[in-house]
Amino acid sequence: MIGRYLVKRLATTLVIFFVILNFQFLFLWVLNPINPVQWVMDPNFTPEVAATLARNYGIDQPLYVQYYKYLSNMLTLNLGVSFRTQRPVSESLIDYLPYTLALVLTAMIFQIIIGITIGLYAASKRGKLIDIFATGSGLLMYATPSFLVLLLFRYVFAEQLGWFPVIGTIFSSPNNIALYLGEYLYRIALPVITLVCIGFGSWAFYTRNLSIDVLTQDYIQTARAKGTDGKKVMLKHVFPAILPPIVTRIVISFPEILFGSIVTEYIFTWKGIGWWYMNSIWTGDYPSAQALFYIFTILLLVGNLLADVLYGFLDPRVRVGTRR
Amino acid sequence: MGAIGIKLKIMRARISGFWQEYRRSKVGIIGLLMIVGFVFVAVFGPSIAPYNPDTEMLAAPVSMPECMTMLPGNANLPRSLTFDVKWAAESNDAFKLQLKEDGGLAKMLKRDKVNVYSILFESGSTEETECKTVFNFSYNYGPPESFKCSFRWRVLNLSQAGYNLELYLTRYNENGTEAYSLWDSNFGPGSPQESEAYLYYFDIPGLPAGFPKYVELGSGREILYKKRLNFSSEESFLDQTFFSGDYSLTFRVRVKPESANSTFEAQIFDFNFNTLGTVHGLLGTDDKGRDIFSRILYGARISLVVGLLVATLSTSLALLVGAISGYLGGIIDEISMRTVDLLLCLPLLPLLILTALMFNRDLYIAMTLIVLMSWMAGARMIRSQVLTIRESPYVEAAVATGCSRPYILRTHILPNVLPLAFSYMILTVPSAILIEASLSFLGLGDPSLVTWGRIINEAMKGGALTSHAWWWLFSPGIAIVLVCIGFVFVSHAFDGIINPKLKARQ
Repeated sequence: MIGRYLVKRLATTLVIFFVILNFQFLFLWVLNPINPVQWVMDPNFTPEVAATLARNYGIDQPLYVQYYKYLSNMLTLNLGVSFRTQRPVSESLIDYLPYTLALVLTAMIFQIIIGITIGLYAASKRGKLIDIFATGSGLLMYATPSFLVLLLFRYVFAEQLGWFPVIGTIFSSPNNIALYLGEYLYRIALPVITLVCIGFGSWAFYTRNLSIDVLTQDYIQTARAKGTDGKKVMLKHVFPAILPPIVTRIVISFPEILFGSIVTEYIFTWKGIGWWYMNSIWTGDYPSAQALFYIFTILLLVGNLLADVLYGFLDPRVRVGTRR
Repeated sequence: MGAIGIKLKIMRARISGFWQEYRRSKVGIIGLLMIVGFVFVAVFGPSIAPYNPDTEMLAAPVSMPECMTMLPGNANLPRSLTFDVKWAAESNDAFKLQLKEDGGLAKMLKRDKVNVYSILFESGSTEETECKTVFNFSYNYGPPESFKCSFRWRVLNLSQAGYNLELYLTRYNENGTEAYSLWDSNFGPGSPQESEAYLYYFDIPGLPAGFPKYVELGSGREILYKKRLNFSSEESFLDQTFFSGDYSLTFRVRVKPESANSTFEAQIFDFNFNTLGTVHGLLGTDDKGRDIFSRILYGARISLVVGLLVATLSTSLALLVGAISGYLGGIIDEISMRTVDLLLCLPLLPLLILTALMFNRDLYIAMTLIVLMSWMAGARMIRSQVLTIRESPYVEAAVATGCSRPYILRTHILPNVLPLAFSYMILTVPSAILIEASLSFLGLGDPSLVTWGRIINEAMKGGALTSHAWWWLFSPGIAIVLVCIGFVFVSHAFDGIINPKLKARQ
């Protein structure tokens, strides 16, 4: 059963991937009111230069040739050359990506650990202060734009108190590994702390609601009746039961947190891919912006696929055939 | 009639039953009140806003809110004051001062009426005569950011006399008086008889555009004034002359008639005299001197439109797709669910950003995209609910009795998924508001609209972080949070009713 499920899911994903590629070609290449020649066009250019540019970008060729080229470029991750730096986009990606991954992964790990702990604790203490805290922070963070919290933390801790640097990624030369690491930690600390404060609430809320659902099940009653203490019930019975949806959510939310880094990096000038994306937008660096958009899409696609697959593995109840 | 009446009755009973239950949730009531307040502000905001959101220089750039003057040490901060200048005659009784309506002038200026102060003088000799009109006022704050004085004058110089006009400011202090000439002009016989004068002192570099007629800092006239007042060019004019104390503003006319027994009339009108303070209104001003409170009030409407429109449209779409694909199943179901999978793989914020770059930064384009990208979760949810309902015995009974598909969809399925759809709609409002705010915050919102996100973007770009203008940076954000929390609260209370599992089971 699980094999069929996997094959079907994989096939769907491939179809979706193909459709998205076509959509991007249509949206970014055909419908885009600004064609690649105009991107770099200067009023001083002579028609000959414009023609050369058109030839370079393949605009002068029939649409199906452009389509073929576009597809093959995208599939081979040949993402073009940045207008601004004249470097291949994939090279810049390798420069920027580690910063974002460091930020996003660290923040995510702390968010999840803190959130799940609070959520489990809140579920075991219904109606107590910790429960109100978990529910409250979950609801509050749903209603709060992340940029507001990020600005608040930057304002209070970087601008007013001066505990943290204002500008993110400016590092001295990495001669001394210990020094470099120290500076890295010093500069990444505030964005990570802020992201954790923004994110843990929803994890706590989610975990709490899942756990409460589980806690009403009969087998929990049985465990309780056998005299298992509360902590053990939470860890041995509730936690394993809520693990599949939580793992799924982790996988699904990873790409989303990655897009969230657009705002984070914009505010903290943390030069990862989110900052790069905004910078490409502002400077009109279309190849970089398009490539990043493509990568974001692939990440979402892979994230969704992985989540479904993991869910299939973790939760044996998932079957394809439930749909008639 | 009867059937409709019964249906209405059932509906009313349902709603009142729901309300009875809803009323018990404190959070729900608070949320409802917040939403009502928000809708009120959104509808009436423009009429209760104290200023036009785009009027610049209401006060100094980045002025503090007025409540900040309650903090120790801030009591003396300069307010923006507009003096109602009422002239009084001083010194001799050689002239008559009167306030009158001038019909001819009104016609000339194409206005309903113009009030002029007329200084009428009849000379008995050819000696130079001085007429002074005075306006006394006291100023009780610290040096203002700038003060502005503008007026128009004209002279009905029947005798073709030579004359001199001067406006000066006198300060009374313990050492006596100090006078500062603000403006003066000499006119020989036959000089221009009508003109306007503007004086403008602005104490910080970088005067905003729009005041071309005023004396600008660093301009030749400003240096001239400083020279006359014996200030060095680095000294601030206002710090030296304008602080708490009693002042008088004097308009002096000196006439040297050509012949005895001639009349001379000087008129001053449209006299504006105001100071720009560094404290302003409820929430201060932004870097262009615009009233932040009014801007926030205007922004509420856009947030409401975005939130409600997006939520309604995307929920309708979700309901349509979810109900039809869940009920009909088969190929329609497969296609719509794959569409859902497909759209879930498009990143919304990056897509909105890219669209803003490629096409116009239009609110409606952004809203359309948000609608198209936010119905999928709802459709999935509604579809699974429809699948459950479809299997329920009463629907099977309806099928067995030969009810048509549209009938079952209408009478059995829709009423049962409506609460779910409604709850989805309530939660879509804040997420639509937040995504629009994020887009505006990144500087990619509609450039013609004052939105909350845009105010925060301007605050960040305008240096609110470094100038510690927290009221500018955070008040629009607090507005966003309050509105969204209202909807989240209502949704929380609502979910408690339609999904009793979540309700506290003690």
